[in-house]
Amino acid sequence: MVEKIRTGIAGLDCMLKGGLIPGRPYIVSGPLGSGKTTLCMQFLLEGLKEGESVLFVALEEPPNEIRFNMESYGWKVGDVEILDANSDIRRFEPKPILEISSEIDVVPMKNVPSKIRKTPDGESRETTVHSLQQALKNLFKRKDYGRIVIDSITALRRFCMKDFEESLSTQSFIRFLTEAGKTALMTVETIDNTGSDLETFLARGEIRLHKFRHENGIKRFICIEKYKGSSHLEYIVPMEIKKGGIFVYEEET
Amino acid sequence: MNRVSTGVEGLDKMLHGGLIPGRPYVISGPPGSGKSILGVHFLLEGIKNGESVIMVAVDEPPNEIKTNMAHFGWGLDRLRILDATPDIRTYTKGKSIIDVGTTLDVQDMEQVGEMRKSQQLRIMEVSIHSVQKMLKQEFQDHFKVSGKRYTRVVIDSLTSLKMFGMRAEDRRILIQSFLRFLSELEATTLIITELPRPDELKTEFLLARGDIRFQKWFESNAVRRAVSIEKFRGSAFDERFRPMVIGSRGLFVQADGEVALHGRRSDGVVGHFFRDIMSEEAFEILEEITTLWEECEAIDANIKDLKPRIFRAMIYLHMGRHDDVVQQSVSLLAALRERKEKATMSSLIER
Repeated sequence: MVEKIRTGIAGLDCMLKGGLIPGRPYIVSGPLGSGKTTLCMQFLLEGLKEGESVLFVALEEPPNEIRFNMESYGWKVGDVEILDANSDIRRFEPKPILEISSEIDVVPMKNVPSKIRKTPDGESRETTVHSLQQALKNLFKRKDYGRIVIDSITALRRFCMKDFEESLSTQSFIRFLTEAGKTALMTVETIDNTGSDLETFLARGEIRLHKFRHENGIKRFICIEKYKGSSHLEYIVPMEIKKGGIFVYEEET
Repeated sequence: MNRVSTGVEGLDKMLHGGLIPGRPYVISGPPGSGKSILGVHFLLEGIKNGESVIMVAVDEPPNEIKTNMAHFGWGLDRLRILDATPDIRTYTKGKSIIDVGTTLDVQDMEQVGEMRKSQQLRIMEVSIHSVQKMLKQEFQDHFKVSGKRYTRVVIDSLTSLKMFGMRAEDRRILIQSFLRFLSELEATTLIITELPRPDELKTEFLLARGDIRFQKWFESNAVRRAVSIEKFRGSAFDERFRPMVIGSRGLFVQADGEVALHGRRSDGVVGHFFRDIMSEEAFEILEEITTLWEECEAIDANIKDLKPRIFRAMIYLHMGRHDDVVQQSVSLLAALRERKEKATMSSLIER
């Protein structure tokens, strides 16, 4: 049997029959506010606990806000390394555009300033799928990251593939992560509780989060849509988000 | 923790104290649901605390906003307002079109008089780019004059800005950039926008740090309103729908009130927001129908003519037209029950 790594959420590990098979990319999908980023952060914190280096690639929110948001769960996220891959304010005049691979460095969360990084007057930074791939490649040479989170593939596709073909570039990006042999969680925004076609198809597994509006509030569920190379729980399990993060109510039988 | 009040007490309660400062939020809802009123509440709250606040008017010219808000009896005089409404388009060639960005027009509400008239020689056009430029300029000017930074901004509305202001360029990237721009201003921003379609993920909803959503529907003849928090990064929040009224003093949210969602359908206004509930209802009713159908088949009841209607209901369910499923099903259920009874009766008589 393959050795598995824990996700940081006990109930989810039960659903995955022990955890995730390392060295592969997985999808975490769900609608807005379903807890994708939170789940990913728990995954990284678990890695820290194991003494690994872990990396969070931010494409949707500025690092200062991620830090603030995650600390509100009562977590110590200081040692999670973060790559700020958010694009700057776009220039409308032709100005030099800096590709992030040459520009950005990774910082541990504890060194993230409390204020947002400002777009400089003279030049604008822009993340493309190509430059992000390059940046990651360089990073992987320098350090052996045990766990990686890409938050999110949706933003990568929307904002970083202007002159690229979306399906092909996504495929190539996931292929790149696979070849690098990294255990990666990639978040994907879904609408209407339906799945994402392409990413799911490419990834080795998909954890899907559900969020339903109900008269008495929001009901949350989690399920494993796909898991190559392992058996897994086949049904939907209720979960909660509260202080301390995500709790999945599934026990080993 | 440090929170920013929305100016509506019940809403602050739902937000567990208010908004997290320095971030952009979306206010969504159907027309006439009270989005702009919340915008003004939010700005007035800032004025009350001695903050600098500004409204970017894209939908309605400032003079109309002034009139519309007048009957709430608020002191709007110190509200700064940036007029970004586009001019009348002229179709004569040879007129030069200028960006509103080049003619900065910010006033105190007090000074707002007549509507700005489109000029004969040049026409102002609004684009997301020009609004960005104007806001940046105004932030700098205001800081120079008063030594204070704007802490609250309302964009009313992004819908119009998108309609007028972004034609050729890639919308997603423009909106991403606009939200980044707003984040870098470090003011708490409310972006007013229309309801998202259920099958589409709009960039502003993806990137905003929160979504306050208004609902509006009709119950018998009365307008009912409710508010919900759909998304709020970095904070817990009240997950229920809460009742809301627009009264003589503006918005009132009843934070401990209940919204009964039963029996509310087909009024169109609520639309897809109660879709989850609707779909549950539709599923249940269709399940009842299929059970009855099987039972009828088992006792050889004649339901041949009803079958197409059952299929139609199933197709509706598949298409997500839950309203239609329910509508179809009510009479279908009655018909099926009747046939079943008849068949049972006749088999009894035969025996």
